[in-house]
Amino acid sequence: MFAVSKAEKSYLLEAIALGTRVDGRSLLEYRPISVQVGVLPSASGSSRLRLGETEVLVGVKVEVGDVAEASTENIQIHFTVECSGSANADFLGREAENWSSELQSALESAYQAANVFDEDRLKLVPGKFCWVFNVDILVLDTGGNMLDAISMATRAAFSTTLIPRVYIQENDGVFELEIDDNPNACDRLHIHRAPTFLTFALLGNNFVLDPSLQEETSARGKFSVAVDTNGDISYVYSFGLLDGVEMSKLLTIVKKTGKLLLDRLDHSIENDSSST
Amino acid sequence: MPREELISPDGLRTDGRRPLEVRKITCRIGILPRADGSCHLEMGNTVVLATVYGPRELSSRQPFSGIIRCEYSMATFASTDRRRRGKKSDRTSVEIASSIKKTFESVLLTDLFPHSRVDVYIQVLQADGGERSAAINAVTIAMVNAGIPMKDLIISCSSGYMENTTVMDLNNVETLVRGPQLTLAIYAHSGKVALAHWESKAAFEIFEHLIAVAKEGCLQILDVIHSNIEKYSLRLIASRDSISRK
Repeated sequence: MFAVSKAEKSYLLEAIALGTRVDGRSLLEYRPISVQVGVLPSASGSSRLRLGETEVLVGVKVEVGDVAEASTENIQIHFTVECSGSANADFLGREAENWSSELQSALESAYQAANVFDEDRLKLVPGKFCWVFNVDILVLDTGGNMLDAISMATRAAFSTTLIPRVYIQENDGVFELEIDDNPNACDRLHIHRAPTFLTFALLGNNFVLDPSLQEETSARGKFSVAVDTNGDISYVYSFGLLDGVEMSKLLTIVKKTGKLLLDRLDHSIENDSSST
Repeated sequence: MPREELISPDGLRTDGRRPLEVRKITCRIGILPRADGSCHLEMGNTVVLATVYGPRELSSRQPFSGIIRCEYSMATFASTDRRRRGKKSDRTSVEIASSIKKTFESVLLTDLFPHSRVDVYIQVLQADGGERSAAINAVTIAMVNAGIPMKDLIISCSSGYMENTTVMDLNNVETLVRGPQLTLAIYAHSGKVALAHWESKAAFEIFEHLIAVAKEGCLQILDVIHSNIEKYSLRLIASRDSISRK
């Protein structure tokens, strides 16, 4: 388990009270982000993202699944977060299970609330078949602020996900699905509603964006918001003492920074996929 | 139904290689800054990430010489059909982990770090045959990166026999045929066998032949890996110079 000594913590807090952080960032600054897309040939969409020392690999697999009779959903998204042994050992020990299910449920709720891919275009047979997106997230290195890194990587992976075209034929109530053989006959997803998380840590009386592992460990509270390109909020998670005024102040920051971050992310993904 | 042929009439394999040719190897050393040693190794489409921590303190004080712990896991998206979750400790993974652990116990100079342990984590990111070999090679490089004393480098390669031809470094299609297949790991310099894994029935001559082919493959791989380690080390030395001159 990662720990921060008393001296280290007080140094960290004093620096933050003066408006700077031990790694030289200002309070509302992200660490450098690098992202690569299409890294896994065996997945429908994939990305590898590095945020400071945090590194994650995301693979999206698309398949056709059955749905319950009465349900009208066109899409199911399942998230699994797995911590590769290398990241696990030092960091979590036995907490790993809790930790990954926490991340999973945050992502799942955010994507569900935002209704990300609910479009007529992706309809198969309502009440019978729907698309199932399996999002497998592998954490390669834990350097703090996992949620933001994972959500950005997931979004990047979705942006490159290809959905094969399917032709539906009905024969006396029996549906037959035929997948187009042409590998180029694929559709892309619209990801403008896919949220990304922005996480603040409360240290002393100040909030810092994108906390590092050290900062996360010494934080008094934490505040995570899922936001999309329009600035709509789909998920909020906080613990520790926060009052209402602070919260609304943070939300305005989130709205501004979130848009900037997402635009930059989309831009770099475009550049990356065009160069490969 | 005619079987898909693995060796074309021109003598080329499904991925365009000749029978006695290994796949393209690329490796990146020291990519995880928080680990003591790490290596991202690609052998064709098989991609493995090995991480080494240690030597570090052992909580129980029993053994006099150092011990090695090894964990092997395959990512859910590694192969084309998605594996269900929670299979981290399935039998193949445990078996591979323990064979790698034993292989490296014989080569690490564990007496030099008593009462301590070395943790090895292997993550398969893409599986296209030869994961065991790729894992061993990646761990060797990660050990070098971590600076853990070893007697020799361990290099591994697979070989197989199909359609009257011996081929080296099998890919996934060739592995699925279930012909005679051998995974061999050798000490790079002495040429001694560190690990041999064989689970099929074949004539003794074929076995002997496969060993020779796998050894040849190991030497080809050693060339690539050795030059990669050398390049990495030279870069480290160069960077030290540039710092001390300032």
